[in-house]
Amino acid sequence: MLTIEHLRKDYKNVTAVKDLSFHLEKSDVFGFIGPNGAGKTTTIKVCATLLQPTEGAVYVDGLDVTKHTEEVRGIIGYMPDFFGVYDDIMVWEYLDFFAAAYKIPRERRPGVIADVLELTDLGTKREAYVEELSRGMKQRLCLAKTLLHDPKVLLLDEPASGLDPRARIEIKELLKELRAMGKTILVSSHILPELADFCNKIGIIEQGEMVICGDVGEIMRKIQGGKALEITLLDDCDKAVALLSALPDIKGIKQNERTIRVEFSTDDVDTARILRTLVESGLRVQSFTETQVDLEDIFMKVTRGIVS
Amino acid sequence: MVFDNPIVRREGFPRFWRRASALQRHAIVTGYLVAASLPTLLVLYYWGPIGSAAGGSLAAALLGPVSYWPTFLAPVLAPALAAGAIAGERERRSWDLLVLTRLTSSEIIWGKLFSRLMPLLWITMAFIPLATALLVRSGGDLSHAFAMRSFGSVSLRTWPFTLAGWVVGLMVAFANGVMALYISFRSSSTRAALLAAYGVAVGAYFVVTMIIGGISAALLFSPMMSQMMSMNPGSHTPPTMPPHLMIWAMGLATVPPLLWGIIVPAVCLPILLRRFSRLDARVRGG
Repeated sequence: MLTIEHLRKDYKNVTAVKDLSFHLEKSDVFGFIGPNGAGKTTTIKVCATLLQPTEGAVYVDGLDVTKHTEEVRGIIGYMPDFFGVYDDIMVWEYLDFFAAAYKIPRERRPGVIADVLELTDLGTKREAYVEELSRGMKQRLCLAKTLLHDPKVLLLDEPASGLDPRARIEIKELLKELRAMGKTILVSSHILPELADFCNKIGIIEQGEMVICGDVGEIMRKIQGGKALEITLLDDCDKAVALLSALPDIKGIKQNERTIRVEFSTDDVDTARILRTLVESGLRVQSFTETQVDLEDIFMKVTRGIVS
Repeated sequence: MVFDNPIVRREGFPRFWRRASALQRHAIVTGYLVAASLPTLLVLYYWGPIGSAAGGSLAAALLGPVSYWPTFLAPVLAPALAAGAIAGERERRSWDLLVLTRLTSSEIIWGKLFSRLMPLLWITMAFIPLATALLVRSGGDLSHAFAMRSFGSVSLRTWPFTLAGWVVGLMVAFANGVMALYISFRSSSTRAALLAAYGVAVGAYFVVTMIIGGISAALLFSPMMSQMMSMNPGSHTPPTMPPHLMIWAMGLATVPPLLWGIIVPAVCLPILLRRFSRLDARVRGG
């Protein structure tokens, strides 16, 4: 559905994207992660036909974005990280304007506007002035605008940026609904735990280059490389550390006050036996859980923390 | 159809019109026509009988200021109206969203131009009945018209030349609007676009047309000028100009603005449309 091949984008004094390639199938939800200045917005803007690539090619539904600009614009929906709204205009007028701009026939517009308002839960704000909406509602309004022409591919640049926790959850639920509708979504964000909830693929970019890209589960297994346990004890942690260090296939042990994190180099670990050993040694175990790496762990492991 | 353009509908009409029902719109149009007609009726029927000297003098005196609108004020206002058309959208960060719609380059450019310059059209249309009535009351003839015009006065007292002056003035206003729109496309802020538009559009217009045309005409007709300067202020009968000099005066006063009104849009609009087709330029203006 979306293919990027060796994309490069140079500005006057800087190369924002160096050599980027990835592919998304229909209904994929791709989390695009990277530090500030990594090249996420530039990549999204090239896909959205707002910028000309210096080298490489981008295809949306098989169409080259530079050669079939008008057709591509009918297929994609773009939501920028920062956007402005017009003064002195109501919510329905704002959507009606864009519906007309997307050449939706006049007789269909009221129905389409009602649908997107319902989807984004803005029905009660239909007659409100756009500049009076809260930031979260403006984000939803922009998403509503993006959905007017029923695009197949959504390009969302930090849709939850600047939102309070409740608003972020609402946006996340909305994106889950859009995923269920079969849309292909590319979303960039800094809020990694939320991305993990609904993305099936991720790509981490740093200094214009893709560091890691692929299925979320596969990447997590690759980065983690084995099981990890988190054990919280009431006391005598040193004895527990000594016991655990004697176990086979240990990759590392970290202690933080009363919590011990044990990483193994393999998945084949008898966790029940380890717990039994600790308890039979007289140690008082408060909690014993198997942990997995999350997106933040992956991000910290694969990036160098260099901001362009 | 230009009124189907969503940009024209949003920016070209005030809020009360956009939200009015069909009946309310009829009422607004009726009100506008009545308001435009009242001064006209006053001039025609309540200033004394047609042909009276007092009414004619007053009408002649007022015709000049009324004609200032299309020949002077509209060209000066046009850059102010158009300068923020695109730069303002970029400042507001709504430009990317507009560019990504299915509107073509032409629709966006013409939509912006037409919606921004529409107030000039409405005001001009409101002045037409009044100017017509003043022309009727003031009388006047061809031989006087150019003597007045060549010295910078816009008090034309004949129908053809009044209308010609208005048409040329509106063409200049359109040209200045096009140039301001082009500058707006290349600018990142409304303030910069406004300053540049006035510097380039209005400044160049005044240098090229009025100063060169006015000075040339003044030099050519200096004997007439001396006679005008010593004219009795109470008299409204300027010296009679020979017809061949009238043609020269018409050319010097009218042709430069007319050329400005033709050449500037003919040059700027294709460049703007071509630049608009380049993706990066469309977004960044470069």
